Amino acid sequence: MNAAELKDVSYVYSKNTPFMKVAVDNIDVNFEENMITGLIGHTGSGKSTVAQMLNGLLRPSSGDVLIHGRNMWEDPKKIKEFRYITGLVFQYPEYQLFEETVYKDVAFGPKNMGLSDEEIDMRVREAIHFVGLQDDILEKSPFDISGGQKRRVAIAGVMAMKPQNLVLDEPAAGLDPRGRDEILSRICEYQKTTSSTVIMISHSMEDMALYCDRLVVMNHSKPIMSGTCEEVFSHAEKLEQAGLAVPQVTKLMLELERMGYAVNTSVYTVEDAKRELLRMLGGEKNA
Amino acid sequence: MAEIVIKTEGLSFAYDDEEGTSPAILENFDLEIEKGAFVALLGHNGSGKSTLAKLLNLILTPTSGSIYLFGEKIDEENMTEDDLYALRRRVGMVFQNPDNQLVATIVEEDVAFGPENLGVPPAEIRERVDKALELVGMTQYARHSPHQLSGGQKQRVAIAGIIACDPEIVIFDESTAMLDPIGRAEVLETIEKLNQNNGTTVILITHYMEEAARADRVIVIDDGKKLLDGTPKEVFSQTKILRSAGLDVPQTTLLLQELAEAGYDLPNDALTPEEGARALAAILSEKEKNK
Amino acid sequence: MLKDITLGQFFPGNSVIHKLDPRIKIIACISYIVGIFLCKSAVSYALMLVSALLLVLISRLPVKTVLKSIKPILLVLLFTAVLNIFWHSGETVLFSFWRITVYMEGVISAIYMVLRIVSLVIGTSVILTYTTSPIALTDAIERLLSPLRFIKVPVHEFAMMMTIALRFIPTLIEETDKIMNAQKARGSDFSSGSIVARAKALVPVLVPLFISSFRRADELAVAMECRCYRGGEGRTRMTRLHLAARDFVFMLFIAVFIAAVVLINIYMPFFVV
Repeated sequence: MNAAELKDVSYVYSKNTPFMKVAVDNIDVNFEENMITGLIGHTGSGKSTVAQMLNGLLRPSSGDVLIHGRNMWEDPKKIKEFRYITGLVFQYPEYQLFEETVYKDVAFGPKNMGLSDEEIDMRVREAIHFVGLQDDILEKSPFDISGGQKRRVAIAGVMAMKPQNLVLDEPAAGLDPRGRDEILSRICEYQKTTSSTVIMISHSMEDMALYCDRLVVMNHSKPIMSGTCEEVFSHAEKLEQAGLAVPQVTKLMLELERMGYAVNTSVYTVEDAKRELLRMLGGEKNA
Repeated sequence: MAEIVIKTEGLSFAYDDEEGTSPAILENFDLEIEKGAFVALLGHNGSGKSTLAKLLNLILTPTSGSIYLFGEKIDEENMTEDDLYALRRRVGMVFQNPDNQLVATIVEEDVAFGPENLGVPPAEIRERVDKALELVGMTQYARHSPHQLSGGQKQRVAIAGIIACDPEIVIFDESTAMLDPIGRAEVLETIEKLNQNNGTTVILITHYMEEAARADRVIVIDDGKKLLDGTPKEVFSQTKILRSAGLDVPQTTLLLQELAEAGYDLPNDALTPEEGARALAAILSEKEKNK
Repeated sequence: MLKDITLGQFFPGNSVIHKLDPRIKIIACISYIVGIFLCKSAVSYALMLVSALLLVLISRLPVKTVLKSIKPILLVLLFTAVLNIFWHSGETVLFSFWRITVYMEGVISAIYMVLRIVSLVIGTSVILTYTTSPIALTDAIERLLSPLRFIKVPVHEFAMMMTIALRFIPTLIEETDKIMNAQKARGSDFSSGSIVARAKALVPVLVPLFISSFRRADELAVAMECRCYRGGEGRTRMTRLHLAARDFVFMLFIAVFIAAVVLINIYMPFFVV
């Protein structure tokens, strides 16, 4: 079953005004259960609008959003229920921290859900460990910790709500390579441990290729490609035309193909490229 | 040899705390930058690269060591406010968050802010503003309000605001970190133009290795110390050191180095995919010949 | 949504009034208000109405938008009218019942007052708020008040504060929107519950908003210093305001209006109350 499904969905901002803008244009997208899907596209390609529709913050102008087969907007009064099913982490989420201690901030979501104190305590600790932090940070003020730690606390705040689906908008934006690798691999681990569905939004092909099981590529308010990483990167040329930066090694292979060599261009990691090239060269020389 | 515009000797900095035990953010840092250079300072968050920038722009005062700007030693105790002001005018700085640098509600008014502060005559301000907006490619947005612009466009306006002050050195303190790929490309192009067309000395502080690779010289900072210093090729061929400093390595360099380890004759400093493809094509065609 | 709030009521345009020097507009606006309050005779009130209508026509603003500016003060108008009708005493009794007597003078003064307020609102909005951008207005206030700096009034600082506020209001509105959405995603509820519960729900929005505003202020201060800002002293301005012929013509128009009002009051004192 699909964790989330957009059926013929459109979203229009400032409808019937001179500022009208179609953010999402009649799209059909499926997000499969129990895996990490990467939603890739430029700023303004509509990917953030999709994220907010999955969580019920935005109501589609037309079309249906199905969460685990259930129509989200069948009864608008029950929309809050869906917000708990699909957790949403915004871009630069550290700016939403507000409590006196990390503990209280992570507990904010679970508390709004009306859980018992013991349950909240358990969830807070579990979430903090998911993002790679230790218990000693819980009593600190969220304003006294480093930027990378703030980001992780904010993400833990949503994980503690134990959503079945977790949507993250640019979780690594602005982080340095070390911070980026740390946060993305933690999210990956979280997905495996909880068997939940994770949807990550990004404009970095390189990051998404490493961590995602499936990719959905958006351009100009519409998805232009979707499938496994191999499937998507086998159309590297189409990605470049959409102005999306493909990983350097993919580019290198495309260049070789252009030079007339019969190489497999659907590679996106250094390891894959090495294997492919060694195959062509006839194996390791020193071995 | 070109004039040395920035020089530091044994520069150290630590934040004051009550016990005086806070760790040094910058330690014994020696640096010389020539006029007209395009230097990238590469390091992970907390490596001390932003602190160095703030020291060079005289926002922070060093704990020990000295800074020379344009051959003049900075001695805050014996320099008047006006002396410092005069030096600061020659070193411009562009920050990370584009929103928090723009003062006025209209783009060209904002660009005019710096020259207005310097007391430049109105006709010349107009000239400087037009020239600066043209260099960053924002002329058609002159009468727009900053909040209608994209992140990359705002950052270009911020750059125009600094150019209008006519500085000899511009420091970019992670000015691309909050932008999307398109915005980053726009800003980087503007920076290159500023360096090449205006001859302005540029210091680019970043943690993106792709950006650092476009500079003439790359300095890698880790734990407040200089780790590597050289041309992009020299620096990026040191893949192991870079990785240990928590930085990315160009995939092309890494791929070619790994194949070289497997026994193939490949350069260890290929940076771009095109360069890598050429080197690989050379050994592939040789193999075909041997068949 | 918060984003939909438009700031100020400025309607960009190209009319003569839009192009006037903002300093002249402020002076003209004050003069026009004085003129309105000088009106006594029915003829001068008629002239006042004609002048207001003329201003609307010159500004080429849609009549609908101008009329809309009166909507929020309808209650004030009604209140003023009622007050004047029932509390104004005079000589000509129109009718009386129970303990209330309505005089002719009361009715006339009610009409006068309503006309006065309507003209006042139309006049100021057409001359100033609808046709002048907030930044031009701030600029003009700074320049008009600049002589006051000799008696140590921080005119420049106030103007700078106004400019920065105008610059950051859209940014902060956007940010509020973003934080509200983020907290909503964590189960905050801003639209239901008691007033106390709703006020409490705002804490998770206000705290981050304050913190980010302080951070912005901090960063902006450093950025301004880097651009050599040292207060108003020794500053020049890129745009110098020049008075054009139309500025003098417009002032003349206002002067003629005031003179006419005064003359009418003296020579045609009809229905003066």
